[in-house]
Amino acid sequence: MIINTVTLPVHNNSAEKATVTPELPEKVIISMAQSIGAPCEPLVKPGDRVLKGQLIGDSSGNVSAPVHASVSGKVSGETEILNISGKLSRAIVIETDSIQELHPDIKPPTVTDRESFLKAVRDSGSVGLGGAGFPTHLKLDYDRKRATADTLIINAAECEPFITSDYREIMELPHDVIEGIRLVMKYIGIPKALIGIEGDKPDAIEKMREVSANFPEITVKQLPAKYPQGAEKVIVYQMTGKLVKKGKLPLDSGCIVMNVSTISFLAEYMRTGIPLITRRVTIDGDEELIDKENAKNVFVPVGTTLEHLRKIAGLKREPARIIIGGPMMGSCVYDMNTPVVKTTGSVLFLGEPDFTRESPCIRCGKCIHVCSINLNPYEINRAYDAKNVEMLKKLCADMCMSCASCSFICPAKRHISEKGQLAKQLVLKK
Amino acid sequence: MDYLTPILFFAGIGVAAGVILTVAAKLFAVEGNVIVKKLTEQLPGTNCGACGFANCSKYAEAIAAEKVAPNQCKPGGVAVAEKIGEVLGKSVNAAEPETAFVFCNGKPPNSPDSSAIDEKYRYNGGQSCRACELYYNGKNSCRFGCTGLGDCVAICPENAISLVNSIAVVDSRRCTACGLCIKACPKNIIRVQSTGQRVNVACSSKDFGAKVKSVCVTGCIGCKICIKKCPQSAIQMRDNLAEINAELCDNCGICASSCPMKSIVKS
Repeated sequence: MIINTVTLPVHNNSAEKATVTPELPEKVIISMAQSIGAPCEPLVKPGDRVLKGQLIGDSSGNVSAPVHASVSGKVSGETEILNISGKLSRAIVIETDSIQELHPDIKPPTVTDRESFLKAVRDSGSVGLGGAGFPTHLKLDYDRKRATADTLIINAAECEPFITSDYREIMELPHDVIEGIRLVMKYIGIPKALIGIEGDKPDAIEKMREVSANFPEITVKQLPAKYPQGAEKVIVYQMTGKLVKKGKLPLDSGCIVMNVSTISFLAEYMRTGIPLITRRVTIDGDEELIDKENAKNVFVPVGTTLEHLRKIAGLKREPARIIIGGPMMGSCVYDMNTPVVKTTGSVLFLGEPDFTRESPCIRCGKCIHVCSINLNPYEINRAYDAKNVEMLKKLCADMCMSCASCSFICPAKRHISEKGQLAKQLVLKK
Repeated sequence: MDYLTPILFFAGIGVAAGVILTVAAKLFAVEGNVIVKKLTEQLPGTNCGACGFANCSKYAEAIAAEKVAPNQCKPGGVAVAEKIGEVLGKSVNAAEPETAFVFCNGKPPNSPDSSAIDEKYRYNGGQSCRACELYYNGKNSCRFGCTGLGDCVAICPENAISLVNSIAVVDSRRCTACGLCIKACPKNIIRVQSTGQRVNVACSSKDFGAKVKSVCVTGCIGCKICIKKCPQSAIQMRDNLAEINAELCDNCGICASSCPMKSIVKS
């Protein structure tokens, strides 16, 4: 079976530049809801002085990762952030000071067995850095009765244009990637690991092959340079040939999929004990807004606002749209106070969108030929218009992962993917 | 002469077939349930679903089988209830006439007379409230108010809803209280109530007063003046929002005239 894909335009101006550390922002806004699951409760009050790496938010909920202060300074207050899903989440505002003192409790964790490793992973505040934000310790502490994981898949596909933060991770810290893989394999008991990298990044493939040469259990595989390769179901199939069926997890096929930046962070945490407080973020955008030379990757503390990133970016004029994430699956942001969260991998500054209005469907079937999980977007759209829930269930509308390939390819510029999301909502509600 | 033969031939076939079909229809006629047929004729035929059945004929079948009360047709009102009573040979009390009401009368703070509502961002997606709701709770600064993209307008079978200054308004004379708009509205700000209820709090915002005031000039700020003024003690505060108890309210309108935000309206 061949996975349906689309070919996206290439934008990688930021790829071959080393990551820079710009000046610190004056304030950071740290969201209490940085992973899926219950949001954290703040552990500090306005007026408190916090140190870099200090635990400032934790939750007793099952599916949450703790939140740490990314800078040292004074807590100036609490604010609310509106997430794209429409949920208001609490956030702590910290005014940065000039000292940037590290919290004294920070030291490398002592890891001896599976339990202590999982506890260390939880304490690190690690979540899936690819964008989903699933807490890493839960992914690794999987239900052993359900299935046994025999393959660790490292997702370094990075299939969306503009984003190069995972690529820079491989180029700058290849040994951390290997170290992280070996730690997870050792303590979770997974016999082999596969690293998937898209074919348009030959340097990264070569680098990973070079550093993994001494470890026969780690294999680097080349993925086609097509979109979407990084989607969980797709990458499992491309790497192992196993299908992840509807309602199943990659785990049911014996796979655990982890983002390359997550795995590299774990290695760094085990070595230094500094929790997840800094993020590598790609800053890029339309060439009319941001010069080729200004496209770059930066290390910024979690909680840096878009306002500060815009200053760093060196824009030629005001952007019409700002997107957090990639141009296909990312979300448009309107509030300049929106902070960088753990899952933010890129911020794009774009010009005016294409205002072509939707025109009637010409039934060309292109959307059907690009759907990577073989859904029928055309029929799903029709069934949604008729509010036919039975039909939507039959068409598996709830499997849609909103990769937006159908909207991208549609010559009539119809909002197919948007209706797919609505259809999914309708099916899940009923 | 050549063309006369085929004309006569086909006309002959037509007459013969007509006679055969008429005779067959009389001879082999299947007696349907006469009451169901009569009831279906009396019902409005909009298939709105307000009675709880998929369409009018399904409801008629249920009435005939005495599975359900015969006064559930909301669009029909008194007239249809009387006719159903005639068919069934007994008196049917019509359900109380009801109408839908949109609990939002939002106006932006900066330009109270402008046609647009206060927006957080410019929305270019599909022109549907539910699609807009996917992004940051909709485009409007008020999280609770009407999105104004007309999902309810599109679904209303009676064309009773229109957009006035980007806020949905129900024409109570046309509304049949079928309730389709309630299901279509992603903000859940439409409710069906008795047509006798003339005074309403046209706001759904549960935010605190300062926040409401920053995005809307007609939103309820929770000042409780209406509670103090109400002679019937029919108003209470729930989640920073005044709520009128329809059982106690006598539609005097004192609250509407004393509301400093004009968020209570009397129709």
